[in-house]
Amino acid sequence: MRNKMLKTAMWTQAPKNKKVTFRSAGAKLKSYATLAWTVFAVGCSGAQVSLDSQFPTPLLEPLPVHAGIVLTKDLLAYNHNEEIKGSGNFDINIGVAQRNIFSRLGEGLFSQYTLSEQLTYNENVDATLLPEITKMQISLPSQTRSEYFEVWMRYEFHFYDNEANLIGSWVLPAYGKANQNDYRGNGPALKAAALSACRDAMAFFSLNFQSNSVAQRWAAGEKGTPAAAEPELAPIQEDGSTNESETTNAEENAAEEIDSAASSSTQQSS
Amino acid sequence: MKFILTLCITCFLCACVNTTVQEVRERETGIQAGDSVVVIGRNNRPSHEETEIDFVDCVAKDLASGGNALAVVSEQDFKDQTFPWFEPRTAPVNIKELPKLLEQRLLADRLNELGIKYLIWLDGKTQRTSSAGSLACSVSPAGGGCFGFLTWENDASYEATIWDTDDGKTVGRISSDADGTSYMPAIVLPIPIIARVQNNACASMAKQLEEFLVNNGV
Repeated sequence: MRNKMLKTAMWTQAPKNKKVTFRSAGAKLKSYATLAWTVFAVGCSGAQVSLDSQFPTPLLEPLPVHAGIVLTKDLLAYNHNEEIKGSGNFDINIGVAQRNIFSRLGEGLFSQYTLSEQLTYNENVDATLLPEITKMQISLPSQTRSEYFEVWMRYEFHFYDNEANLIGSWVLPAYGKANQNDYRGNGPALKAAALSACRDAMAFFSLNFQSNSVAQRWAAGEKGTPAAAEPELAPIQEDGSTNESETTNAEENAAEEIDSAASSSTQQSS
Repeated sequence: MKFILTLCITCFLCACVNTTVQEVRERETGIQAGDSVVVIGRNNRPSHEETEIDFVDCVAKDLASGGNALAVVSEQDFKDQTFPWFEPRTAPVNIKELPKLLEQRLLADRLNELGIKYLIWLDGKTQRTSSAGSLACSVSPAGGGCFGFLTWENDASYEATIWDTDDGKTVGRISSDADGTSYMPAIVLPIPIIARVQNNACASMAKQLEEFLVNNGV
């Protein structure tokens, strides 16, 4: 016992040839405090996610359209930031994925496509598509008492003729989820859920593009009217065909999910 | 001596697992040279449940190794190559949807390129069914330690449905159920004795799948 105490005392003692100054003790304390803070912060600091991933090209017959796709600065810089009480700050940079997403969609859906940053008159393209993310939400397993990280997104696709006149718009909700048990930490799981939501949007857009009435008119070369280019865009009126009614149901379901998530997060915050 | 000791410790630290595998064959099967399979976890919407990625990877890896190793296309590669037809919102939910899907010329061509003969859908998950006991740990300047006893039971239940891409029909189903109880006694040091329920379910499932696909049901 005496030996043990002696050893402990020796271990805690400073080396004889070194002076323990207040400065070095302070620096040590500071480094311990930093370490403790880092450990604490890692435990509950939320997550920072950047979707710098590659997306697949849709396996579809391309439409004989030279499409102009406008990727605005707002879309390319889209960042979702949400402070969730007790879980920290969650930051998802989803804008960084948009160029790749729309390049792949352009390759798969159209015979030719051109990316641009501004909506202008362009005689080199047949028609122009301007995508926008209007809403995004996330939920954590701790909020929903499930095993899943979930991401909801709402895209709005504005269809213009090549003279920049609006033909119509298409609201497209997307959803993705990831099981927390499949990933280590909040960041990878949230990234997987966000990737899944982006892929969902791409898949739904690809498969329903030809049955959506506005997209059909756009691809057929219909001209828009300046009057239609009002800031408030009316929801798309579907023509009632089988595919479209399925589409509408699926869209409504996803929209309901977004709305219910919105109301639940509002309730939680209140 | 060291090897025997290691073996004894390993056996001691692995708790028992009961596994039951059942097979329903509807049609003959067979794998030719150049044929491949893909193992996909069910994650269709609106269902909230999905099969663990680890389990899907484990079955695919086991199928691709061993004596009768099959050519297995990874799930992610398959989904990327056939995008957007096998995403959660667009994937066929039942076999009746497959023939219509295969009418898509580009998709059918891609499946041919990949040599996909069978699609294996995995459904199910591993769940903790019960747990009991308590364990407390403490740390002091003089040292630390744990004391107590924990026990929990896991139940893994999976089903594989195998679709033939040539004729768009189900060729059979295999289910693998496993359950086991894990223990963790702690006297100063906690000693986990883990029942590897999911691993056993995976190994049994892969073995049965391999026999099912290769042995032609004769």
